[in-house]
Amino acid sequence: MVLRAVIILAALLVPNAPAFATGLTVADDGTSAGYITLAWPDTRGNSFELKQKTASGWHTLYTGGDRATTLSGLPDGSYEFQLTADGARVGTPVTVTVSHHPLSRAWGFFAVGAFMFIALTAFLVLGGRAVDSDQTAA
Amino acid sequence: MLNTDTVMPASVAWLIIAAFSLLWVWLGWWLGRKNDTLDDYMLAGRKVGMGFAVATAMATWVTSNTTMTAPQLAYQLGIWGMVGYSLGAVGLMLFAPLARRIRTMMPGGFTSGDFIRLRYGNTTWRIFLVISFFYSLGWLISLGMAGGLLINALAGIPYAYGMTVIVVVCTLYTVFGGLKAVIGTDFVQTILILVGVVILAVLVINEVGFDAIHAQLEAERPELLNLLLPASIMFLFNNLFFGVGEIFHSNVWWSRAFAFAEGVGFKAYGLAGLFWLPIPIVAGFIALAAPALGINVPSPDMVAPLVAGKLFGLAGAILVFVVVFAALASSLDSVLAATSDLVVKDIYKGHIRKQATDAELRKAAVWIVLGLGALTWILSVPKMATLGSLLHFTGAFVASTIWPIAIGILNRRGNGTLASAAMVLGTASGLYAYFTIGFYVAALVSAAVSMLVMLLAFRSEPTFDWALLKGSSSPQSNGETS
Repeated sequence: MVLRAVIILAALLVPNAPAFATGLTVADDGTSAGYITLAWPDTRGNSFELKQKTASGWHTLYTGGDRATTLSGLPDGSYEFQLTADGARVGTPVTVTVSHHPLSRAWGFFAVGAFMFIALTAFLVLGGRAVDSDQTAA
Repeated sequence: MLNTDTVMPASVAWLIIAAFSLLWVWLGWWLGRKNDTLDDYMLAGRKVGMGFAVATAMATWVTSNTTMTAPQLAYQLGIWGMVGYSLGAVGLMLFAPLARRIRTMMPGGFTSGDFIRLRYGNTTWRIFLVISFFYSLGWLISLGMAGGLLINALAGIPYAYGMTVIVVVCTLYTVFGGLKAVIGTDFVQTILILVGVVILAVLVINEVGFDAIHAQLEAERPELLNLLLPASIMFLFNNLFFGVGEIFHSNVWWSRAFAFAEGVGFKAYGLAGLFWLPIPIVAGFIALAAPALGINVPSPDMVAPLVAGKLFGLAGAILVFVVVFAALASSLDSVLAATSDLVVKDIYKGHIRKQATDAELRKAAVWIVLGLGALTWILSVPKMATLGSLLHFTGAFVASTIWPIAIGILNRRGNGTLASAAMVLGTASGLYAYFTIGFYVAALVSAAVSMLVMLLAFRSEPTFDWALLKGSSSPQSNGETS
């Protein structure tokens, strides 16, 4: 069980460790929740510019020395990003597609959670009383 | 370096770290200097009063996860992200009646593992120990990571250095003082956290304003304001059950239930939950100001210190630094102490040296705290995942224990086979949900599957004898524990 958990943990961590990536990568993929972290950990350079393609052309999202950025609150759609390092383009543009979970699925999980919360609270209140009277009787 | 745009000189950061490190280590030594028995060291003599009880429950639950992960979830999942995080308070409140019952049910008990072994038998106990140890380790790693991230975000000090200092300092004062030191430092840390968070919230509202934050989010991040954002709707109850699972199973909370004086547990946990409820909302709100301030967020778990640093410069950075450092320390020491108790009593005495005396256990506890500190450091060196994803991964494990524990404490039905099946199937399904759907449903799925299995308990006769719990864990006449 311990070994299994360690293997699973290792598998979990792999997507977050793009050790050999030389260009733009998706370091944290939350596309079904509307967020992504784009990273360029091993790209050579001191100053980076991250651009996003919009209807009116390329729009700058970030300029500076950091090596990652997190975008969130994105609606459904396709998003194209391009990185430049010290003024030179790095690799080809990266396209990310955001597709949120359907609302029906979300409400399904909500309903399960709400039901279980009511059941647990009721059990703790009623179960506590029952066990008190059980012990008093004993 | 993750963040290149820092506001605090490294020398100031080192000065604060040194001052607080000395304070915590000195307090740990001072508070623990009269520890004589294993009861003193592990359970603070079992006579913690109401003020310290509320403070320690609250300070332990206000972790780096509250001050750094709540903003991360607000930044990733919007309004419901921070509201959902605050539902973690429900875990403390629901544990209140259980804490009272635990104290009277097992007056000489030491760990949550004691209860599982006596209630469900050895197989379930071992499954539970794996879950609990894995969770504790995940929590310890997340705390070490948060320390490194915080110091890097504010002062640009390399992640590994900051993480190392936090882990070493907390390990040292936990070694010196045991649970008494942990609870004493928690009291001071609670005051720092509460005052700091309130000041920060007022400053953010005054400096940026609701209108500017709302306008920028609406233009750039519309889904963060969407009250029907599907992932955040799924997250709401997931976080509630993650918190319930953490508290119901973890020895951090059971050791406090044993340590609080009689009659204190119920009120202390209830009040701590109430006081804790607004903190994630206040902390999370800070993250929503990031887009309006044009801040780049390299990793979402760094968003709170980045915003505070940008908004308030050096003074804000120092304030956040002190608050999060206190929150980190108050939790890291608690998890170290409680995990050490679990290892000492359930693994060392339970499996390795069954005849160990209390004096030997007292010595072993020191080495185990040191060993856990070292293990935490080793596993925190590579920044392996974001704080949120690491924490919610452990949610799949702990939520599977909710129903076996609740039913086990309050009902004489149910046996080890059912409890084991509930934990294994719950954990497996939670992990499946984590990888196929997202981190925001792992605990919910795990708890739901575990509940379905435990419902079968109500088809059986009530056969468990409560006296087994009371008798087997009482101190012996020579002062040692069985």
